[in-house]
Amino acid sequence: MIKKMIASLQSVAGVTDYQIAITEEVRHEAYFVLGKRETVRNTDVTSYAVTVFKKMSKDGKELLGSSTFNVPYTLSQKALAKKIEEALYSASFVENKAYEIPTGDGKKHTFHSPEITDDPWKTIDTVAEIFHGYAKPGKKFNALEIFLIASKVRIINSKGVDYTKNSAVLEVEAIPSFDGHKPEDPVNQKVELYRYFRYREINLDTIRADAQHALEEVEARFNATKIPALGTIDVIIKDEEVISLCNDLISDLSYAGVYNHATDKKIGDVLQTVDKGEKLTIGLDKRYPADKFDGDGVLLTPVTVIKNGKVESYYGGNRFAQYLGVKPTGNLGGLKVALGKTSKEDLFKGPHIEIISLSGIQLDIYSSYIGGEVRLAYYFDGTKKIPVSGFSFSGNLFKTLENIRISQDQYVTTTYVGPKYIRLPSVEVL
Amino acid sequence: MKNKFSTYLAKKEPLLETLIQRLNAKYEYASVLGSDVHGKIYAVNRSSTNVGDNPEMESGFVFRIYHKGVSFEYATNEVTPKKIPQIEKEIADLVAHPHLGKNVGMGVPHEEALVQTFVRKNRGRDYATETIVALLSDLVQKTLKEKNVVNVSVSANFQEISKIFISGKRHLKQYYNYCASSAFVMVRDGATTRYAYDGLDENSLAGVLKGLPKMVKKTYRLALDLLKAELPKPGVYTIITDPSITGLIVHEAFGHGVEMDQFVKDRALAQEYVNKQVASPLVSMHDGAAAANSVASYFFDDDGVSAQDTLIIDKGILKAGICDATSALQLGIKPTGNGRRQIFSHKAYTRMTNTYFEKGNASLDEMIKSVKHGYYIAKTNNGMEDPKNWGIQCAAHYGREIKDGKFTGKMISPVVMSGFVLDLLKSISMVSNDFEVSGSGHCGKGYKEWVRVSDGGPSLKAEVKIG
Repeated sequence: MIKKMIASLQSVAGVTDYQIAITEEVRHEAYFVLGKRETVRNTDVTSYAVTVFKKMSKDGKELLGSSTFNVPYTLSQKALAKKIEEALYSASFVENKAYEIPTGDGKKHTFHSPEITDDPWKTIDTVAEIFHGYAKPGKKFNALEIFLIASKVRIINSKGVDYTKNSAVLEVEAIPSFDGHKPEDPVNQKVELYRYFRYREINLDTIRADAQHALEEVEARFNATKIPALGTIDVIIKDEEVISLCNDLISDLSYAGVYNHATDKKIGDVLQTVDKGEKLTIGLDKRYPADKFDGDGVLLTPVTVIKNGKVESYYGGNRFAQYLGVKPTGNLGGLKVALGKTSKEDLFKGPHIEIISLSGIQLDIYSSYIGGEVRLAYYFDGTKKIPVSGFSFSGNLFKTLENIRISQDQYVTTTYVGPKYIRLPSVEVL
Repeated sequence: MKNKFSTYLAKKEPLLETLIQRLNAKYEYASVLGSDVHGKIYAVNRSSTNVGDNPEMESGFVFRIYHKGVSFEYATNEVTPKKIPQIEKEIADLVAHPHLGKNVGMGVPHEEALVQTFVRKNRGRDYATETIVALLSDLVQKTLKEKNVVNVSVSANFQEISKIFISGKRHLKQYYNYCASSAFVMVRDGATTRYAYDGLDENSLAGVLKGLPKMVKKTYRLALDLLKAELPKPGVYTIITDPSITGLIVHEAFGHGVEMDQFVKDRALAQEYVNKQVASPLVSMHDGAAAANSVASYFFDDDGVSAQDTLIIDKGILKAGICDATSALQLGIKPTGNGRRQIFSHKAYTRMTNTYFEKGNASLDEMIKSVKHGYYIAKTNNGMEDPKNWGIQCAAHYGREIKDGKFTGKMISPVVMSGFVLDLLKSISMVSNDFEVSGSGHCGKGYKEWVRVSDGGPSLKAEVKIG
């Protein structure tokens, strides 16, 4: 198929350059309802995305048009040529400022992340047994979905790029549930939480700990009470909420964001203006051995975007890097945040709320908003810690960032390495 | 636009029929869903133009077997005579594998025989690529010249959906399409940056293109207004919703909770409230692909079940939920035509389609005049369901302050509403006599499985926590 595509692309007049992205994905999936198997699935899907580039000039300006089409099934040479001609026609109306597509050395390079299993169904059975093995009457996983996904992504272009990456991931969507007796609160006789785990290597101890912890947390939600009227209080966010916060803080600092004026922040601008709290250092990195290139065929270069609370560098892909006259970092998928100076013991001192589960953190870097509806948290009044739920918190994002505390404790996921906790001062609770 | 059923799927039809006959001879139940979805997207902003295939396009086949109490599925993007033995072997291996643990033990669907082809063509004329790009570029260039504007993005897209479903008793084909356009405007005044967005959708490319110029202007004016918006002061307020926020509430607060695959998993509090009051008597709620003409209006779902209009809440009383085929088998009920897949290779879950509250009797003007202090909340941003414990989080882009029945000119942004579903739905005290359903967004199940949905209804007056 690829040889046929390249031959067609080379045979159609007017194609200046081309890129072919091939994605092959094999998935093994099992779905459990109340501990019993409901659905078993196996999928084997290959897709091709072909981009044609066309150099043009208009009013003395050099332009590069492009258009992408997908090939989901085998096409004849004639049908392929027709698709290419249609894309070329579309590209002729795409009058983007000229840029060059990435160049390679003309050799095929393959990058591998460690394989996670050679027996997918056995692995799925093992993971299901772990999760369901912790079930007790009234405390179990009411729904469990397990996905083993092996993927191969290859990027080829007309400038000598030919990169392939093989990777695999185990994903588990788990709904820990607790059924109890709570006559004073009929709505919360049964409670649940939502948990999604991703593993790029199989460590059964980690999976066991995740399953156990999820059940402990849902029991805490059952025991949670209404929070007392507090006004403002320090709030500790952790894990996925820390990741969301750090992602949002660099979201407008991409080359595309800068070129399109989505940000007015300059290199060296200070984001945490008051010299009191700890300063954030946020970068983008490669997380796994196969993560060497992006979807344009750019080899990835790690970058520190915010250093000690100041804008250190922008980041991004091929085209907008060229517009800004800088080297592309590529579109990196891993977030790397420097650990803080505060020990867990110090971070959790004094009255605070530790957020365990939110409906989804709400962040707006333009309005400077942070907040969300809390499904489970621990309230520490200075002497005792109790589970609480059914409230929301909100604050001024950049104001609260001025005086944060960042944990020494680390949190690691398939896309993140960095602090586990951040303590936000004086946030409103309602 | 081709405006007709996929020739690719039509060519595969005899092969699929033969294969399903053979699979039905071997297993308790076998069906296949074939999808061929095509479309184009056109987008322009200050530095880029993009014309290409719609990224939501898909093409492939999923075979479903119900056998010995379990649902088995095999998905592949190609079915050819040469590949048939491999497909049969993959399915046989999947069914024969000694998977550990107990099965749910469901039966097989009792389908009514039906052979039918459904077609809904695009209304209005087709447009050439250069005409669409010229229209979008002109709008972007004009708006960039306006005061405070730093970026403008305008887009239009269409999708043509062809699906075929074949089982032992049913042989269904459908073609339909939908079109959407969107506008995003970012403005800056000194150190303050704000943005606004809007979208249009209908079964007409001409319609969504025609509506774009007005929408871009309106979006620009809103972005300018938002330059003065402040963060909300947390508290409980009287709100009047625009139809998009009504849609967000109906979808997130209650819609997810009546998806009956959650009943099967004991994940929905709603199952304990059937025939009980869950909302103000002013509230009646519907969902269904046949309930409205919008982006989720198909003729049959991904389980091969005909589209329906389900009355979920009738004058405040919960009457029924919505259901996919596999969950219906476990519950012993009839499915409601709500089995949907993100794409052919994903599992079908119970999903909402077009979800709305019925209109009421009040005028919007009356409703605003009745507010002592509160906000007119507008423009959906996002929301999250909590089907088991009925927590609610609905985020709107902005609110306009109302004092003593009049707008004060003050705005708040963003607006995150939270609380308890029943408190919110029972607090609804007025329902407007206008009505709008729209669907430029996607809905996830948890944090995955994105499908196009529409929602809306009239404006509501309610009490809600903002913070």
